[in-house]
Amino acid sequence: MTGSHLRVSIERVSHRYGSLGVLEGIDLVAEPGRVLVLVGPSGCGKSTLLGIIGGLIEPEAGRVMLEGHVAEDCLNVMTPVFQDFALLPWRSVAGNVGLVLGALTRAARRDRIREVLALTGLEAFASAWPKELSGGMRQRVGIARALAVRPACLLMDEPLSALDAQTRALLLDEFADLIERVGTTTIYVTHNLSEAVRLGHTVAVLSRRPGRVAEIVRIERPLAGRDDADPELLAVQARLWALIRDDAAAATRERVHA
Amino acid sequence: MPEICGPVPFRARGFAPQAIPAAAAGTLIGLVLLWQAGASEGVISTQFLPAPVSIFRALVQLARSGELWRHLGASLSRLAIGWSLGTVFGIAVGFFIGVASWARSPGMAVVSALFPIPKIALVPLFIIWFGIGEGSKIATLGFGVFFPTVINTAAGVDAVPRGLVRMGQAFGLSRAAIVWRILLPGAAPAILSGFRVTSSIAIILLVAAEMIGAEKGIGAFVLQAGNLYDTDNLLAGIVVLSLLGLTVAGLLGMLERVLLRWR
Repeated sequence: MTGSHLRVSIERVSHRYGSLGVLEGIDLVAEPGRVLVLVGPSGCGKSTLLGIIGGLIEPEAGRVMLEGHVAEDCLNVMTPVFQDFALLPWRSVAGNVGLVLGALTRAARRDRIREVLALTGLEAFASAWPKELSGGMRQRVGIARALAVRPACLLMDEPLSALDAQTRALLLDEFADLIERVGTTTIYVTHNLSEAVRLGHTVAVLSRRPGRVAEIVRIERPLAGRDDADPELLAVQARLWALIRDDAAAATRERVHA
Repeated sequence: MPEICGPVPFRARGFAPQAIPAAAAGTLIGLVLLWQAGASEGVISTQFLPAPVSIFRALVQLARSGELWRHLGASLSRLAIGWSLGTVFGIAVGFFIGVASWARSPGMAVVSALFPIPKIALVPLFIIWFGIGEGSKIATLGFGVFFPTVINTAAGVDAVPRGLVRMGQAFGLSRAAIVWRILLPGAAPAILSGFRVTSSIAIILLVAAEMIGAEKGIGAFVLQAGNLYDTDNLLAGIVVLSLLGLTVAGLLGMLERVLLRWR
């Protein structure tokens, strides 16, 4: 679907909210067509970093560089998928997808909506209101909306965290399949390590606030062949947990004391 | 330890009121019948409070003579123009206060200073400014509708989740598209609920303004009837105002059902 080939480089990015340092000297690269997963303890600045990458938060220092080429039909280079779906309740499923396709002609918009709704299994729900959909279906709409603009880079901020475990497991498989088929550069924030090893080609572990890159773990296996019970992936997951555990415990204590 | 044996009693009864349209109609009809019975039996003095039947006859007579339509037409035209002007300007200013930093503090300061002034007290001033004709009456209505509309609109814009605005920005929507497609529909419930308040305010101010200086209009008609101790016609005028309020509320209800069907 995508003809974009985009490399996203995060260069020496630091950020603070008032006197609270959130990120410090982050250097990371999201390779074209690959998935970079950001994990770390609560409050380590994962979502802030994603906001900076998406141009929604201005970093105090550093920059995010884009390098490569963007397909002609790409309507939005850096495209988010939100944790809370961010659907307009007064627009139907098709209306929510069509909202971001204002640059297209009416006919092209209709075709694009039909195409992405088919891709995400939502054809039968085009005229449904968001309130009529389950959480998993709403997130599919969020994905359909993101794919409709032919993004060069997908920015996914804990897209499964608001969903129940069964829906999460099903959507995770669908994400893996979609990401591999579409081949868009993806940056995925999660606190769930099984999601990280299921989807990530590169997993960047951030330390406790102010977040720094503590470790980068690479997983070479193709997304299609990954299985939750795979001993190799379970070993990676255990390694990630070992890297995060102390910081996560400290962050939890910090929250309790606060 | 006491023994227990029996089904678990259901305890979640009540605290869930439901609308019963038949009860609403029945209450109104019952009150009118009671009133009619009191008047017929001499319990209620018809000199001060005419019987419903007399009021109905007066209404029919007013409708047949064309007097009702002459007064009602004048009132409706003032109501439509005054309410529309106050609403359009109120929504525009409320929107600026809701979205623009430069408008927020100055706008709210002006609104806070002027909103509490009873608008009826300004009628003499409007007569000096706009004359005794239509201008002063429309200005009274418009002014009275403007401030609550500003407040409701600004509150409605503030209540739109910022996450939706950020979504629009993240997808590269223009500022105009964010205003028209996200903020305006998002603020619509607050704006529409404000319409119920402002339509009532407009009817109150309409009658007040027509009582101060008008030959035509329901307010003027009620005042004339009162001066002549013509209580049948006075009450007939009040019934027309009540029906006007009910009709406006019904129309707004329909508008809400159409525009807010997504809720």
